Amino acid sequence: MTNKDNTVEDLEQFIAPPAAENLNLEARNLDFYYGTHQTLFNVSLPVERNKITALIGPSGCGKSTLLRILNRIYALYPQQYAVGRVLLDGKDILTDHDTLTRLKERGDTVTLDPLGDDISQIRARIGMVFQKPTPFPMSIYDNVAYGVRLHFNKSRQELDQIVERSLHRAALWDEVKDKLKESGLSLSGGQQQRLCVARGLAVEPEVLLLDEPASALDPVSTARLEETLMELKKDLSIVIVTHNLQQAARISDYTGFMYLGNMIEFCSTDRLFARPKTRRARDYLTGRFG
Amino acid sequence: MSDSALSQPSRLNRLFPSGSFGEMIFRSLCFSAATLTLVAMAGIIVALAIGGWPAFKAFGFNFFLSSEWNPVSEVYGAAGPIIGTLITAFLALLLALPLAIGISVFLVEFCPRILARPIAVAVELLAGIPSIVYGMWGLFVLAPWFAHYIQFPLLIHVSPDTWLGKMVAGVPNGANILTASLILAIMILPYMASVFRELFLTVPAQVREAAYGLGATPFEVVCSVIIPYVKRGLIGVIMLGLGRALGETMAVTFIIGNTHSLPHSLFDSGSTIASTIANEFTEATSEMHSAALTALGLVLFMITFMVLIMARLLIGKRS
Amino acid sequence: MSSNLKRRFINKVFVALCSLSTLLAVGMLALILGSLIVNGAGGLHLSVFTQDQPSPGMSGGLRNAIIGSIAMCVVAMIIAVVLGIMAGTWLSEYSRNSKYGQAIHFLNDVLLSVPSILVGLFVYEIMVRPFHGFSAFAGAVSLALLAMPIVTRTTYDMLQLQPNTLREAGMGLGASQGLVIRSIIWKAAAPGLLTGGLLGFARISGETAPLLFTALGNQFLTLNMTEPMGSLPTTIFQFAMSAYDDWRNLAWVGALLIAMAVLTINILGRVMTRGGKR
Repeated sequence: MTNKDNTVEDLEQFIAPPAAENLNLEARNLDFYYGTHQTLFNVSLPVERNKITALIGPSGCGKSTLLRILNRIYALYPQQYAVGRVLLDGKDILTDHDTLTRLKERGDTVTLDPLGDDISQIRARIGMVFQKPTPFPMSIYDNVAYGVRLHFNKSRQELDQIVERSLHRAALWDEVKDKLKESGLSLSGGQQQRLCVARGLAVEPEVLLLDEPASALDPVSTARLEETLMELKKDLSIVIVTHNLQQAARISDYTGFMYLGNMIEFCSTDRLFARPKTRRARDYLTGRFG
Repeated sequence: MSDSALSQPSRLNRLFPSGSFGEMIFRSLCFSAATLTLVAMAGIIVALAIGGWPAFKAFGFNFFLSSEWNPVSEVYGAAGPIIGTLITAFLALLLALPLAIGISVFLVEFCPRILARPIAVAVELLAGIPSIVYGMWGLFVLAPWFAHYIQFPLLIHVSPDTWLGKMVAGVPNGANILTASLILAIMILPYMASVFRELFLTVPAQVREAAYGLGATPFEVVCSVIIPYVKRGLIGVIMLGLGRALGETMAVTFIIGNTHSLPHSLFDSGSTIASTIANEFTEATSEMHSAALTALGLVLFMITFMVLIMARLLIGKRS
Repeated sequence: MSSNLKRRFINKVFVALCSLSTLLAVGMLALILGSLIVNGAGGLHLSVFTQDQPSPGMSGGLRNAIIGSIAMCVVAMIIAVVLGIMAGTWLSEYSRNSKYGQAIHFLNDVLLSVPSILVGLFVYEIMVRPFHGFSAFAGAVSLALLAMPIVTRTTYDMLQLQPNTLREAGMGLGASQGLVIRSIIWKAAAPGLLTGGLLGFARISGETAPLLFTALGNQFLTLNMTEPMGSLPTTIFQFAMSAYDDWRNLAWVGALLIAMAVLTINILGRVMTRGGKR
């Protein structure tokens, strides 16, 4: 069944796919189930290194679900299953028992090349920022240092440096440098969201996943966050789910358009927005639905 | 009359003045019923204070300091029951708290979905079983078992002069401070576990996911994010549990042994304020004896009242 | 990497401890229920319900205690439901945001967890001592005082759940506020109010401490509320602390009955809330 495992070839129906050797993270032929209800159908997504990949589509199309598979956060919930492959630098990360059995049931005969069985290590390499800011109930400093303390044994000075650098990269340092000991909850919504970005960056992930990070922010905070992301892509790959088409057009290099759990179209952002191939994408981009 | 004015509940009263006579009666009846809460609360304090006054007057501060409680010679010092109340309640809390947290964490984080609901319901139902049932179980099942398998072996194998030996000295009948605390712990455990569970469920899913997303293990998520997130409520519930343990009567009365001296060891028999009142009040023939018992009641009220107020203040801020 | 192994190990231990504590608690509680059934079910004959409590060494039942318990609980619940629903209604519908309302709300929450034995002492001071006699009515009042805060609290919570549009719609038709409360809001919240009553009932049906020195106890059957009256919990207490085997056996039977009754009431209340939320 080689035709089940030919994502890159599949993508030739799209225009200008990222080159295979540049892929940082890749989802191949993903199905997803809430209990018995299937919400993703054979979805593939290439994520190129040092690029911003946007996922757009109407509500409920599965774009957030796809994002939640990429770092296996869905696995916190017992009734949710993903079937398919997710590769981080060419190594499989969906290697839990459920996925493997279901892959076999589906008829896939591929041999996986597992990255390792420690989910916390995998998640540390793939950072995630959520729709609503999620500061932890602790000081600003401790929020940023949280992940670092989990994974690395750093001295006090090193930790200070990491916190400062991360806050710089998230463009928050100037605003909070005098109140690092205050609670993370004391910040404004936009600041909280950038704090969460800084927290994600502190563990030096290779990929940053953002789930509608600007939906709860005002325009000014949104603009600052976008600036931050443009700056960050020099160091890592970014996948962003967004409702805001202008935002996708402004910052992303590649865009995937999803509809009803299918990846309808995936290509460079310029091409997608200028000349969508499918009628669904054309209708969505021109505002005829969604 | 604009819509916004109507949708504001506080304005409703003014918009619709209670015109008719019947309306006024209904309203004042409701008001009186609510005021009854205040009356009952004040009544409890006043009644206990008046009833206990002769004892406070006769013994002064010695009422709290002396541990001599003798209905024959009419000397009443309440140190024994007071200390007994505090020790059993805190011991019970110490035993129940880690277990309650363990159970609630298990139900929220680790339990298979199919089992979580039945276990949670069972835990809640068991919080409602009357204390007299726990007390009987303690007297007829726990105490003999404890005496046979724990107290006797310890008495035989541990020299009475060692530190441990002194801790476990006592009549080996299973009716002692430790078994009373055990029963109390079993009683407050389901209550605390079910409220903890509700508290943990209030932590937004995204905050949990954010912590997992950074690669934290479940243990780290619970300790550094979930528990701090509900800290106030958690302390409030602990206080409520303590309040229950302090005022619990029947379960303790069965099993604490009911002696009024200061307990010398964990395996010594003792008494609590509530057990003393339950045991002696109907048999108190002299005025002073019942005054002393009522005074004890006032002391218990003051202790629990303070704990409860702290608990309510902490929990109230949550909602 | 070794620190990572350590983290995973600590986590494994933590999961194990959490599972173990659940197992321990569930096991402990199964043990309690088990011993109730083992010791109580054997003595559960019809005579328990048809005969009054025996003298030591004689055979008998618990009829007087069961009937006494039911009588006092019914009277207590009538008082508690009437007063509690009215108090909860005032808190929810009339008191909004006033300082006094907040204070009452707070005091009600405190009263909810005042030790029951103190409520018994209070009722003794106001009803038994002045009239020089224990009475079933005093017992009922002390039980009512324990149930009322629960009913008040549940009523308040349930009325707060009713949407304001309902109140506005009623008043928009010209009904007075009191009429809207009685004819619309109470009806809409009825299943919730019933649950409140059941919760209160479950709480008091096993209460022992306040009855010890209000209703005292009575070894004969009576329905006269001005006399001392027996009740299941106090009879269990008396029998369990005694030295006679038949009395102890009857105490087990009584404990089994009470536990079953309370569990049934709680489950009923649970089913109702589920129906009421829809």
